[in-house]
Amino acid sequence: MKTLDQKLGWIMVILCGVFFYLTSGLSAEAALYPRFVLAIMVLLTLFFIVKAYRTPGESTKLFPKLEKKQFIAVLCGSILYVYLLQIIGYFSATFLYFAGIMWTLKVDKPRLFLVSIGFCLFIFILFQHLLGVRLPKGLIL
Amino acid sequence: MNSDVLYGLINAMNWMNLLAAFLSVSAGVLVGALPGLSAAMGVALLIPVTFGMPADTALIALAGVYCGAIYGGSISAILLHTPGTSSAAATAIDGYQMTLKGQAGKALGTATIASFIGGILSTIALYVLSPPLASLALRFGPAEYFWLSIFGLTIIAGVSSKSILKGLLSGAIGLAVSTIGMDPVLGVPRFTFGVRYLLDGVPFTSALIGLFSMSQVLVMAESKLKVKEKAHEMTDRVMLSMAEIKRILPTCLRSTVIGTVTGILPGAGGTIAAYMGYNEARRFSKNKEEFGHGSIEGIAGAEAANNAVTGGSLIPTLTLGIPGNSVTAILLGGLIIQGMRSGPELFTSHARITYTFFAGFMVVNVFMLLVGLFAGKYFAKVASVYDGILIPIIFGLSVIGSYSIYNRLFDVWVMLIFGIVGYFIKKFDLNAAAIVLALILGPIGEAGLRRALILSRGSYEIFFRSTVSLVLIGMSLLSLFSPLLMEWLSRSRASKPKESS
Repeated sequence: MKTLDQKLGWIMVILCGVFFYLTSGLSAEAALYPRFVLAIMVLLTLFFIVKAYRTPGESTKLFPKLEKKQFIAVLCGSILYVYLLQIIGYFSATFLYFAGIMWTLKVDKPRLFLVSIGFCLFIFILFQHLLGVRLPKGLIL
Repeated sequence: MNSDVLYGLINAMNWMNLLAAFLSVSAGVLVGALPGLSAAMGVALLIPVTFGMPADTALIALAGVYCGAIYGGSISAILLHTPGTSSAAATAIDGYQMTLKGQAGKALGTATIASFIGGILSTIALYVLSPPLASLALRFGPAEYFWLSIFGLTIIAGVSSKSILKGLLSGAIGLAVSTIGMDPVLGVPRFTFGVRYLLDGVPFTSALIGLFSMSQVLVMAESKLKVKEKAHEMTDRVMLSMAEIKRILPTCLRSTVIGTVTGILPGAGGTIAAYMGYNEARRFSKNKEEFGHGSIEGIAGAEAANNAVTGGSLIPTLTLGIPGNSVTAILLGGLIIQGMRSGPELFTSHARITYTFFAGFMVVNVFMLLVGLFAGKYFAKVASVYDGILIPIIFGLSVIGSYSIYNRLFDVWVMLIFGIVGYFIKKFDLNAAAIVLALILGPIGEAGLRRALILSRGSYEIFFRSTVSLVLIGMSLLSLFSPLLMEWLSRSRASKPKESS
């Protein structure tokens, strides 16, 4: 089983490879600084991998106590919220996101409604009314 | 008195600046009091709100959140035994012991007064030390700016990370990201994949909101949410007697010096300063036996030091563009968004704004004192808010914050991506502050490198010609190897007693 540092070392190797591939499409002059950065990255990655194998740490698990359902609900809910912003509008998406996430995280109903409506009101007053931010408008609000 | 300094003092009293100082300090104390939320996150979330404000008001508001959050960490440390910010960890040692003895008010009063003294005196250091240090930057050419960017990265990566290599790797990742956008000399797009929004580079504010705020949402969501312990009720007054103030005063002054100096040293930060302040308070105290069992000197030592870091850390940030910690790295971003750059310009063409900011820093500390003394106990109640409520609020603020700068949904997606990246950065113990700093220093370094090569017609000798360059190279090497040297020294010291025994 690879330790976390060893895994990180190999992720860095992949990142260096991707960066090398991307810089190869640039002209020599435009690639000067990115290649300088790449050289630093490669050097550090090599040092890091050697260190990670010579003195391997104890930790091997990236998610030792992960609450899978809760974590996925929050992550997917957040991505869905950003996607819905442009479709149904800022306020409706925000209210739905707040109510949905808090319901998933077992917040009691009175607080759920109070916080969802309160947050929308706060954003309306501060950002839309006072700062003049044009919030995304969609099918609903 | 310099007319700009006087103008700053008067302008800071403008009602809008006073209101910004009061509201931002309150928001900062709230963020600091909530365990898990950091000063960096508070400042990152406030940047978009300050975007439309006049530069001086915006900077005062950012300073308000910074100072408020550093102080706010002590509230939950004292009343819940859970430091709101890492720099309040030393405060929890004696603060919570006093709470258990029914002296929570006195503990909170000590933390407030000591924080105020530390904050105010470090602002004076900011007034005195910044202009001469900024004039040093006048001697910088392109080659020196290149080395300065390298020095800034090596010092924050080397000192503030658990592992120097991981800190440097973080910096290198940040430098790679900073190359996205238009080439500064040729004007050709690099790594933009045809996305026109990336021509100006990765949206900085969205990236830092993602790295510091959104990532925290995922960290909170990964473990089982528990109902937090309620803060202890305060039964005594949140004020100290004159005798007690006299008793903590020498400790506060000593810790202020420690905090200011630690703040000036890039990478050291509030946590180290607070422990140093606490240890020195114990060393000089006549009541050493009280330490660990509820000593007001212990609280004062830690709090004066961590709040003195605020002013101290701004000195290298504003003069040389080297932020001392993650918060000042974000503040530097706020400065750039306002169209200003650190260095001598801040004390010449932008002197009025800069000195208003300095005076505002004092006002912020006065409000921190008032908010702490009169409303500290109410903030303590917020510290026990259930994470299930905080998660959508933090993400909601991250979304509106990243959207509102350019009114673009693209920036919200950038924030989301950086949030997920930031979560893995925490998982792998990498350093988010080094990445943010690299995003700022990367373009400065590249411009320096390219311009220097144009000036020297491709000769690399220009990078080693001036004394300033050589000093910066030496300091970069020192910051890289000093942790290794310290480790070697402590190992050899530890092995000596074994050999002798």
